[in-house]
Amino acid sequence: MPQPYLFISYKHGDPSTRIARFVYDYFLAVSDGLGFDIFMDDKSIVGGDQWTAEVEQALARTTHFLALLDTAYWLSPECRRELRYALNGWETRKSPRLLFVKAAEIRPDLFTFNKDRQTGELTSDDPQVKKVGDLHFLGPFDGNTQLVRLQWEDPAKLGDQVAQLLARFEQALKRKPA
Amino acid sequence: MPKASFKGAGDGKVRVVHASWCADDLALGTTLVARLGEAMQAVDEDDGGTPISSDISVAPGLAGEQVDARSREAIAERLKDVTDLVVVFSPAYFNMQKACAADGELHWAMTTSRPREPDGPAIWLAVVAGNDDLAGYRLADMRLREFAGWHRLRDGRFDFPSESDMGRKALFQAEVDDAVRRLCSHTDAAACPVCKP
Repeated sequence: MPQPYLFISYKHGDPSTRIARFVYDYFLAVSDGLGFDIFMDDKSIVGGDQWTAEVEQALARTTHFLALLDTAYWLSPECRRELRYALNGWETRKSPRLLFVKAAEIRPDLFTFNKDRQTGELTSDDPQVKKVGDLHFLGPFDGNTQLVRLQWEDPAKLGDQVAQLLARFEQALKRKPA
Repeated sequence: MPKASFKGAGDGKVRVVHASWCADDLALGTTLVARLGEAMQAVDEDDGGTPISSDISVAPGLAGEQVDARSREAIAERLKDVTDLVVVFSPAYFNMQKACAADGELHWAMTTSRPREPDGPAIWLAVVAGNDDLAGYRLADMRLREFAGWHRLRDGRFDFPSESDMGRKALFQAEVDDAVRRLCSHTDAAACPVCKP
């Protein structure tokens, strides 16, 4: 059975690229020990550019899709394209697993939860994310288990948050494929 | 320049402190190296009276700039006088060292330092990001957590402040000062539980 393959999807920009690299470094450092491969596209793709073959190949291998969500991500055609690809995979063959991270604040009208979080609906035009139960928010969560954003402006806190993401990812790796 | 013997003052020895580090996107390594470098500049000798020379600096072109891949021989030549090697650890640093494999400073340090090599340098760990117990990190066939040669410049991670938090900035400076004190108080390898073979 091939090794799990983690794809980090993010919107190129500042500070999102720095955050993505920080997360990537954290995960890559333990990837040998935990037994997974990891991909992050560090080349900026501007609007209209073709997806690189590298990205396409990586997506095809992806078993875990980690999206660093913020408003810019949601509004980016390239990010949506990656997310749509991952969503289609999840809906048709239950792979890759979708792991969302709240990288920064997200405009409420783009991405909202129903209160009970069990049967609610996430709203957006495209891609259409429907079942909350299909999604897995990797975090970060505060002490009251409330979803919060990554505190990139506070390096110590960010380190703790990314460590939390990694611990939850480790749990996700242990789960059998759906 | 001769190696330090840690026998105390008056034997003509000196201690040479070097930092192995790399820049990262949040500048954690850079920040600690800069602060450590400043703090070490004020130190002339350790608690045993042995002179200390430090080349900890973030300035490009100077000794102590960020690591990259070199041949093992080149590393050995470059660090041959170093008695105290500060490893400024972050996942970014570790990934760079993993990419260098046996041609990286970390691999060199873990295979030539005390207690394995009694005349080798003492290795000081300064964690700026990542698991502070080094769980999960593996370099070649070595698990970092099981390496017996770590001296700790701080027991946990260095607690970096945010830009606006003056209180934590003061705490961070206190952590750096304490790290320098730890380094200076390491005067007797024979009595050090880490250095003892």
